[in-house]
Amino acid sequence: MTGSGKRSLTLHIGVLVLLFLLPFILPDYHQLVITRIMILAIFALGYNILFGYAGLLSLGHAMFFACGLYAAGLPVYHLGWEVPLAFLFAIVISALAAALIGAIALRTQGVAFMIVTLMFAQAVYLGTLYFSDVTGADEGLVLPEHARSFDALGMRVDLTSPEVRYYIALALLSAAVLMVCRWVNGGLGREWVAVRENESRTRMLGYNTFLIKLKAMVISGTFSGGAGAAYGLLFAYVGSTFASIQYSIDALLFTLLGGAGTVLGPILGSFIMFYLVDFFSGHTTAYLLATGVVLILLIMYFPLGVLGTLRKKWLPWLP
Amino acid sequence: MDLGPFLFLASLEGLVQAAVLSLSALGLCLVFGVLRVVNVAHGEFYMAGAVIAWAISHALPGQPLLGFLAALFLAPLLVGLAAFIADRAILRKINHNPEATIVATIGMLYVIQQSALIGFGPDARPMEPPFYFHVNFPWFGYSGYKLSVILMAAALLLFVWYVISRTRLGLFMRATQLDREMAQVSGIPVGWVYGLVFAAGAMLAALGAVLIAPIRQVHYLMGLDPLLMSFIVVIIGGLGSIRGALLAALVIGMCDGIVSMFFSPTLAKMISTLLVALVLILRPEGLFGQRKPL
Amino acid sequence: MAALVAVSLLSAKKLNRRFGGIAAVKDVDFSLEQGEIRGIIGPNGAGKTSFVNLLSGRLAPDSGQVVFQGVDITRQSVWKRARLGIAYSFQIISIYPGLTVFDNVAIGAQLGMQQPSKSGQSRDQEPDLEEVVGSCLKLTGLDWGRTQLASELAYGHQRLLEITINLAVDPTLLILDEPTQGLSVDEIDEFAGLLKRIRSGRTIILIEHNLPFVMNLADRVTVMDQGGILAENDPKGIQMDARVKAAYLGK
Repeated sequence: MTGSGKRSLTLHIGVLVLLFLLPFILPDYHQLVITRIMILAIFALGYNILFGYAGLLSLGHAMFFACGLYAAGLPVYHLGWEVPLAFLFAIVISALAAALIGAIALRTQGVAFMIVTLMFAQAVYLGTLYFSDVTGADEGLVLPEHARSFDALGMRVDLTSPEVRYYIALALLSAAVLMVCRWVNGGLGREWVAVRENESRTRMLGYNTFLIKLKAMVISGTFSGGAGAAYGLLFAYVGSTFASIQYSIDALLFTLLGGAGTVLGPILGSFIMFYLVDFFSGHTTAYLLATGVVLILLIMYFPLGVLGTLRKKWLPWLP
Repeated sequence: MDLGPFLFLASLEGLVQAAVLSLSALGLCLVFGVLRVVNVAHGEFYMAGAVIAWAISHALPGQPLLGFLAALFLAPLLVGLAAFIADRAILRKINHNPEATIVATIGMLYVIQQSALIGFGPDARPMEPPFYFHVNFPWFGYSGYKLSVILMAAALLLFVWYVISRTRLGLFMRATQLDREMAQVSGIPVGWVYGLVFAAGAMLAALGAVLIAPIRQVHYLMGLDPLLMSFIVVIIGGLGSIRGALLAALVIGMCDGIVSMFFSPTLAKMISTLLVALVLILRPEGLFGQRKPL
Repeated sequence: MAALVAVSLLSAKKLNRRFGGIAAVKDVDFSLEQGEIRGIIGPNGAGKTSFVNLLSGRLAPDSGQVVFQGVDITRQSVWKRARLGIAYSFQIISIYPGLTVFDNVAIGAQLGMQQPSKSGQSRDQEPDLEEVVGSCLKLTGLDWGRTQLASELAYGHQRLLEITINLAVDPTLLILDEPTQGLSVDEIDEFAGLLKRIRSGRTIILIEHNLPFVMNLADRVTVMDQGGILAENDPKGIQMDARVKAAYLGK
């Protein structure tokens, strides 16, 4: 492994260790907030694979988040499934959904791709409203008592405990970060970047660029779906809000803010944005105003995001 | 009511819908045609138009006609001014890059919508129509104001057509659309044309909203629906084709008006969004897409 | 004697392609032998680039057939042809400007490493990506700049990088579209040296305006004019050909 490879590995493990230690010093409120942030950070990590690495701007990633959410929550609610089974089921369904949507939407490019993903996501959102008997629509469904704990490795895991939720979220985030690190530093990551930088050249070289983009879509969608499933199961709630365009925009925003095309960027972006909104919502009902202002300022002055700018100026080894 | 008169009523409702939709879709279409960008904040300019119209008519109590006329004039003007500034201050800075513009206009969407929430509040409020009279058909009476909306929208569309095809500004617009660089070297102030077209797009949306405000209530989230519908119209009509967009607005407005009276509006919207996605994938030039611009 | 007949690597039969009313490529029959350097020359608008685009798959022919190593590839997509070993180097430089020189070449190299060697060199063990990229960069003399951003390279070096990316895939047939365009006299000499170094085990099509350069390097030269093939011979024969002179001098 090269020197820069070691440094970046140290950095990533350092961040995860820091997150591991945080609950010992933070008050309970922040423990809950950071649990949410970590789950949404997985969503953003997934979004970043598609947008930051493969260069495809989706405006509809909430549909994958919602897909995981419902694929996990509905069997638990209606069929009484166990939590781990529901989670795995949600992962599989999200991967399939991403493959299907990808195979269709990737026939378009650029602005058309953005609109097609937006439209699909809108249809999914309207679908969750329309089939309200099953999904509970806007009001959503609160998962039943049996889904608040499960047995794993001979232990009883209690999902009502904030610590347990925190460390489950951290474990999932760690797994996601390590997987993303492995991919983006390997051949697959280079293929994605090649498509982002110059797709026609990449095709002329002999790459099946459609397949490369589809891989990005499936991995991205699976991460997003996994995040959705984790969110629903940890907090025992599924609802239409999570399918709304707001969540698609959030993924884009976290990624842009932290730095598209950097592994830690989406995580940093999730933290900053979450606390920013948290701060604003204490003062006004119109906290989404912050989202709007940050989006405009970012795209005008910092299109590379926090880590992207850092990397360009001082830290070229940052992955 | 029998099916015949019922259908007639539904078509009248559809026609009102189509009239307003064609104004706002035309705005989106102009912006896309000339600037080659998608304005996601389009629906919020629409909402802003309605909110300003409500504020004006509220400020002139007891004089609905005067209030309405003032709103019809002032609301689009204010909205257009805001849009012009937004274009010059924000979109010009990112060179109207298509993808960056979408992100920036999403930002504008939140800023405008949330400002309305702060200033106007979360409630839906009714606006008084400028006049009351009923046109009596053999089977039912119909609001004269709604009929006049159809006529006013048609007049406005004619006016836009005149500007585009008969004036210097229209010529500049068409030249810029055909070839931005050629227009620039021919001495056309492309930056200004961009700003004006962006403003004109927003003004058309605001006009549509002023017309509809006395029929529907004014609400800070009312922009989302017309945005989506305008998207659908512009895509089906063939991106950037004005004739296509107008035809599509008529068809879709009518269909939506009629279908909504028979089926759940959510289902109708769900199906139409899916159809639009499919149209974009299978026929990127749109259903009525003509290669001929404007 | 049959044994002496060279193997045809690539052949085209009755290729046609029209743009609007204009025939860019008209009834072209073409055959390329393994290991040769073939020059393609002709006046502007003769259809040279269109013709090689039909070979590389960037354009689909209206009619005709392209056969590569005995396989009909007429209907195959660009990337499948490239996998079979046809590499196209762009007339307008097409690299990955935002990436380092190393990553530019690695994109080609990691694809080349996924498939068996085409230039005939045997591989005892799986080579390391770093090694493959390093040896490609040494071959073209860009080794000094591996950590530089491609966009920051000088024009001549970007040209070299363009070809290094292609070499990294280890192609059987390398199509070079006006590789000396915009290069200085010294750089052209260096480039000729490079082509001599990389030709072993490869077949090269060279589209060029620089006639001395082609005549010096090519084994055979094809002259195109108005979408068709005007003449085909060794460089000496071409230089003597009256029809070629007429086409070039407009007589």
